[in-house]
Amino acid sequence: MKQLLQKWGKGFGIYVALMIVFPFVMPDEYYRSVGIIIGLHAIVTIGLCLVMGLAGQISLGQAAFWGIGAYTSAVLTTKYGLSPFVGLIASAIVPGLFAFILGRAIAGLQGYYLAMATLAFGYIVQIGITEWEPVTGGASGMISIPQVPFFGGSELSMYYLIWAVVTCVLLFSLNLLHSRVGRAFRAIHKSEIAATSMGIDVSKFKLNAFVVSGMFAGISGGLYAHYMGILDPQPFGLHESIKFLTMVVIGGMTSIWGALIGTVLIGFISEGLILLSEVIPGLQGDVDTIVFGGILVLIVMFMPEGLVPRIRSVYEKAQAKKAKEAAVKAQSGERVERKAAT
Amino acid sequence: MTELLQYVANGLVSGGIYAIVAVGFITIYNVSKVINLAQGEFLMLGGMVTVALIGMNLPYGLAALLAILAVTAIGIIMQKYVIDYVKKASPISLIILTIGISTLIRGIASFIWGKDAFALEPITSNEPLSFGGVTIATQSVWILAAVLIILFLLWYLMEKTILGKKINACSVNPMAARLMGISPTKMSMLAFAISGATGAVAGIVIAPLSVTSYDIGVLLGIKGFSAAILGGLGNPLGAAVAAFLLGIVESLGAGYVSSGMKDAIAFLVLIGMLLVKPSGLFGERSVGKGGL
Amino acid sequence: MTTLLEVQELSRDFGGVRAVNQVDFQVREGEILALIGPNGAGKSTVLNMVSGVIPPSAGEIRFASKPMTKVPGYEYAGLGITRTFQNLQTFDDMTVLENVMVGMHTKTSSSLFSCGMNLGKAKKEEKLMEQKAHAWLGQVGLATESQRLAGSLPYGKLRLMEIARAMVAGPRLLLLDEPAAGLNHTETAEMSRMFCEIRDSGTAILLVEHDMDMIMTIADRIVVLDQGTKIAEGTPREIQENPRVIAAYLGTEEE
Repeated sequence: MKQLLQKWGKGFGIYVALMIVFPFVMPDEYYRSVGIIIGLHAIVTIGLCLVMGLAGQISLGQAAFWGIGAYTSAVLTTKYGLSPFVGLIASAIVPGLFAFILGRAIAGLQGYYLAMATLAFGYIVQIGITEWEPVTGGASGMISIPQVPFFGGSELSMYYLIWAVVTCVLLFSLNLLHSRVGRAFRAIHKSEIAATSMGIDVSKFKLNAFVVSGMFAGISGGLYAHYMGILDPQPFGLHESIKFLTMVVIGGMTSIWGALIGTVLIGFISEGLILLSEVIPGLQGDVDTIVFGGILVLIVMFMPEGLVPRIRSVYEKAQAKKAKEAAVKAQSGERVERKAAT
Repeated sequence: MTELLQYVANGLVSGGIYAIVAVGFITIYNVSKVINLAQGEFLMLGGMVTVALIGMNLPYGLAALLAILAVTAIGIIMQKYVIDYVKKASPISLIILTIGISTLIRGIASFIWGKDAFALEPITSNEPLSFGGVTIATQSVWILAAVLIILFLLWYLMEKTILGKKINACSVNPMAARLMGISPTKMSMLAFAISGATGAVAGIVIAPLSVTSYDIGVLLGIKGFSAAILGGLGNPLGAAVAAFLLGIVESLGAGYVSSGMKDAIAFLVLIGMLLVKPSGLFGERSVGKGGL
Repeated sequence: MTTLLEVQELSRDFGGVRAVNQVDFQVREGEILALIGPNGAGKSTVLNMVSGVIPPSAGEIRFASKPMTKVPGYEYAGLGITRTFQNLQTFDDMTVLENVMVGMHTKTSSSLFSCGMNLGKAKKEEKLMEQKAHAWLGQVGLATESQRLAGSLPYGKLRLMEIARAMVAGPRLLLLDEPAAGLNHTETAEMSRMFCEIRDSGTAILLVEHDMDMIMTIADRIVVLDQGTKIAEGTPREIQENPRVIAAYLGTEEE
């Protein structure tokens, strides 16, 4: 623990404290469930951040990997009676395989092509889940998916289980960021030519980022299935993929902390909108889509780097200014002294 | 045999709509190198605004005209105040931006009109036409007519007029165009206006055949884009042909394989195409390839 | 001296225009070979082919007798060919140290999993990378800048950083694309001295440059290109006296 604090600094300490304290500050079961959903989303968005922010790719089909993970574990445990732990492992592997195959296939694609291919993949998966009725239960979905037997499976223990996974994913990604592989990702993002000339196999590393993001989304999906106990294909479509995208973009694509903070922010905004729609009777339709769409547009127009990098750069500038002022002061002080001496 | 012809006929109709969307994509892409992922929303708005205006007791023709003007204006506003603002953004930012715009428009539509589906009266009679066992709705004839007229007008504009030459100049070399006194920004605005107008027309003519609701734009947009890629991004004629092919393949798939898988078939075709030949059926440029 | 790099009848077309036409030359172990010529002579194109960035249209490139034209670009660094870029290709959002550490990519092998879990091997390699990168930053005089973001560095220092990044893995052949462009006199002199040190430590250099003072002082041999074709090869003294070279540079009509 001490070592971790030393390595990641105060930020990590604050994160751990907030994460542990939250269910007691908000002892309501409802807020615990909100916390759980935010945690599940964070696992997906941290993975998406690796693909978008680090490797500079885009995926508009992240909800599909989430869905594949959810259904993999749900089907294995409900239909074949396997333990949820086995199901969860499979829920990482199967979406990882899908990501590998898709990633291999679209390895040469960039920009709009990649966006469209992943979007299309998302649609195919959602349609596939809906149509494969004997296994997935089709549009009406699945019920009585077993819980993960973790300290009685109460809301509170699920909260800690899921945030423990979030923490692992976070640490894994932060380690990665500051390693040979993470630097290779970031190098590719800035200049593929330079990365190649340094000996980085660009398409292999892009694929790796894609597979890892698919596996993270899958694990989250598996946990989601066991937490909810019921599943239907509806949450695994474009709407959710865009929500994930918004979370990553608002927090700042290039920052893993940004993905986490963006997820929490959007999570609370969503909750706020639900509360708002209960207060204001005229509110109909997907108000959250207006907000997400608006956020995406405004961020790209006015703060393309996202919240966390922006705050960081403002802070650093302030620090630099302070240091400069201090230096000037010291210098003038010196001058005064010298004057006094002469 | 009749069955087959019936499927092909259905496919031609939906293919025509995809063709308009695809050509809208390409018109904007050629001028500004932006893929407007909100293209499908133009269709949705065309249909929905018309329905809403008719609901306010306006005559059909006037409602349709106003809807077309409104969507054209939205296209112009989008270019002027949003797209033009972020000129130097990276492709990934532009994707996020246009996805955001499309999400925003969809959200606002669901806010104003709710999530219900609306029907629009056919332009002329409700009676289906029959040709040797193949029945098609009269509206389908209107759709095909609209598609062909739009495609012809666009072709005429681009190939036969000075304005079209200016637009082409911007797409080939914006720098040189600017030196010749052509404003790429204005041409880009014009491209958005054209895409808005054609999209709205397409949205209006298909509304009677299916129904229209706040979210029809997504699928139409993606399929239109698929056609644009299949045809080789940047080539309107290729895109139109690819769009008709896509419509037919989809209709055959829905008929002979599974109707639920209809949308998946279009996307499988897209992904398959991207794998085999990312430059498209008729494209020479390989725009999508990256790396070394 | 043994031949390290051998280029045979190398050609490259760009849409029907022949940018490089049947060029032959060799780089020997432990020498600095300069590639010069007027603008548009095809020097950078040759360098891009030799570094695997673009494939040649015809001809063969052999590195330590291994045919290279079919080798994918990312394998060049591992085989011992690294390069710098004329228009800098730096990773602006990384620190100077991290930039140079990327250069150690081929000398390390820890997997994504091992890096994410921060396993022993990854840690050990991380240390090695840092150590080597620091050493090279010292060598090029950027030791005090190691924690700054590359994007905030002035142009001249970025050039030095690119050299450190290319050298950190200990290549056998270093390709330099106009390293002195945009530098002042002192910086150029400093850089010339460094290139000689690099050569003396056993890394051969293929240098594309416009700064004649630099070339005449440090190059062991010079190859001159004009309009994609080799017109001369020899020692700096021979080149200076070669009438074809003078004609190419001064643009006289005699031939």
